[in-house]
Amino acid sequence: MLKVLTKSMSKGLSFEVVADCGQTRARLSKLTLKSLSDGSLGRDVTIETPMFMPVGTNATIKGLLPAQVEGTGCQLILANTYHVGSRPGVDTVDRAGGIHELMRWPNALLTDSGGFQMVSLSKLSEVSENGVLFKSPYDKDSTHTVSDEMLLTPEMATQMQHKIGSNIMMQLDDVIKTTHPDEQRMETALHRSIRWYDRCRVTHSKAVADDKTGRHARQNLFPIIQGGLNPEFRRQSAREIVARDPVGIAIGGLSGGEAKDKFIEMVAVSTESLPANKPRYLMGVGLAIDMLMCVAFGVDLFDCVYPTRTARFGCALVGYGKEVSLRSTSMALDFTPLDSECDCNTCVKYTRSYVHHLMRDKNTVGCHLLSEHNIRFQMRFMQKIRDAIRDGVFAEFIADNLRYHFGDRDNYPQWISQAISQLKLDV
Amino acid sequence: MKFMVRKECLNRSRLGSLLFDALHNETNVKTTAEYPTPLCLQYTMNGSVPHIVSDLLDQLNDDNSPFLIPLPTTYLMNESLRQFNSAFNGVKSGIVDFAGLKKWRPSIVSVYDPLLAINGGHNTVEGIGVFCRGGKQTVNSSKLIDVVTNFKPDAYQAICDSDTPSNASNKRGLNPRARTKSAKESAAKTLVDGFVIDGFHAYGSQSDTQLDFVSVKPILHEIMEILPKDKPKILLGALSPKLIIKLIDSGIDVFDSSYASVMTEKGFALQEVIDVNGLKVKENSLDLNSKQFKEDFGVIETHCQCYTCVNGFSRAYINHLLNASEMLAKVLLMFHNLHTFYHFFAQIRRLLDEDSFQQLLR
Repeated sequence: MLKVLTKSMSKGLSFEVVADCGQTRARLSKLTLKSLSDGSLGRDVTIETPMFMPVGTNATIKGLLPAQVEGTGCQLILANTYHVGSRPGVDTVDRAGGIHELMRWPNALLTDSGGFQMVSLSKLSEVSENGVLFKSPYDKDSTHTVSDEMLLTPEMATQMQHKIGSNIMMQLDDVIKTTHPDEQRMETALHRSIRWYDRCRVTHSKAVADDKTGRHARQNLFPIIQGGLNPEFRRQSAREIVARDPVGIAIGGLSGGEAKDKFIEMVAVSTESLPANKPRYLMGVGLAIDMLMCVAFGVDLFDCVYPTRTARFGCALVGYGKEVSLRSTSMALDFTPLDSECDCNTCVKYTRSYVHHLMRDKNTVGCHLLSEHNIRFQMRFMQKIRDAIRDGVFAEFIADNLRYHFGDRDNYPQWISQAISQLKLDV
Repeated sequence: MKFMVRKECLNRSRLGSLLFDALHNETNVKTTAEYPTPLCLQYTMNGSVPHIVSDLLDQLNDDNSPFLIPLPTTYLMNESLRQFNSAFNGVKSGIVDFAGLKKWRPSIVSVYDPLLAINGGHNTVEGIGVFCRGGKQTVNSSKLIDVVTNFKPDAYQAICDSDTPSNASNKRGLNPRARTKSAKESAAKTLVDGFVIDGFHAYGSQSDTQLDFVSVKPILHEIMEILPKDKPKILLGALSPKLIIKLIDSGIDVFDSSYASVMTEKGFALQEVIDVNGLKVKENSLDLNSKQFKEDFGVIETHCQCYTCVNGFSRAYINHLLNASEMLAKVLLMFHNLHTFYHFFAQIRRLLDEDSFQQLLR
């Protein structure tokens, strides 16, 4: 029985670190999220971290029932405010009793602010101090909350997430591509993001004060550390955020096409002075090897479309994260499971050969089988990470993974060597 | 496969039992699986119930009915199946194992796929045209036997030329003389275990409108006089409940669930078919694509016992999923539509047993 090393609590969230790696910044923790539901559907959820959250863009994890998602061991998923706000619209979700009720997901759910999708999906977005002005790609004659041309402010982003009813809400941040060349713009963005966090906090506090049901009080607002690829900017952002004593902390603006060595350097900088007793969430990262190294730098939560997206393209994740393409003709005579170590329903009941035939005929059952497997893969991988931290062998686990992916030391890519060196790991 | 008539009812309708040799799933002891007729076979595509992974089969409420395994979506698996059987050396073999389906549910291979309209003109003396991914395969009797050897179904349909669209020349289709000739020849084959009545429609989602019951009825009745009564009659296709009722009255024992798939693909939810109060047959459905359901937070039908309704998935949610082109929409609709369709069959059997079935034909 591990004792609690440090913890933090609020009305809707509690977080306890129960083990430290000792050789890296990795830690094993328990995160509890309180149910928001007034009905019989919701429940309080306690998950162990480090943990991965699959993405259910449109209030559904593609093709899977909530029971199937839960069956993989997953109890925390992500939904996109931008997509849900477009359809069915946040007012519809609110009238349904919240997103948990609508999609029949009894466990925990995190929403992003909508900011990232706006920048990446919209035809035109202009940022001002007030908010982000953009044109939506969704059709004009639908009665959606997110309409054709719209100014999304921090206040609105928070209100939308209140209506959606997520357990964890994200601030609206000033998102710009990490590959943006203008350092000045990057600096403006980090400070603006902090001002926007303050505006989100005010909106959230007001809603909590006005809410008789206590539901909003159980929703948790996370700020997002920005700063692009500039370590000083990142440090400033982190300082300001930590000073505001948030319930949890996200790291954003990474995993957007920047070079891997810059990426890992920024993750390291972003986590270096964060308080131990707050959960750290790195947005948009989901490749096994990436998550592994980020855990070493102290990250607790991840989200990414990758596992479910690659499933729909016919790829299964195996081992420590290699991809196997089921469409390949060699699969027609392969009667082994997708992953011989996996215990998911797909691997227990089916062969690669059969899944191959399904994918070749574009049968959706093939997509469901691969999605279920890939999510279960992510869950099992994170479990291995947690077990390794718990057993004090996380550094060895990293070594095993590096051997699996790269063979011996000479083949390690630069970002890995850099990370190992920074962590002073002997692998 | 065996068949027994349990009760002869009015006109040509009857209650029966379709019997299969089975191995009990846990004990592996030989047993007999019995399925009451009129029976609905569970339609599959590539060996899977559309949209439903095998792990969820238990939630379908389909009486564990035998699977229908149409050839067009499975023929290309034949070589894989051959090697699969060889690799597992008897521990696992056949299409039911390969497709991850439940071991003790029987399977029946059909030559045509209820949901694939026959691409006319491809049946020749060399064999029938089976349209798979990548094009036409010509399948003759010996190729079918090879498939059967690898698939190991409990029953299969013989190669037949069912390419008889309503505008076909008199050599095919509704030619009474050809029909009775076929029926007499088939009846003479005492080694067959049942008869597939084919050719009254050309398959595909329009089968229900293609089959003109008024024209078909007299021919069907003549055939029924010729064919032995103690063998089951099977008529496959995506047929509506009202048509199914008429066909049962004319002596058909076995159908398939593809109609439920047709409704699902359109985004429609079937509503309860037989109104037990007025003994009326309704063919009502909800077009869940429609804007009117955007904030309809009720389930499809309040007393429905399907997985979707029991777990509170609302009309609004399915509407949203359909509008967002999300796959889960069809998963949820399949649960509901299959449940409703199988419930309809259960009601039919009960009404036959209570001698109230004829009232449905009013």
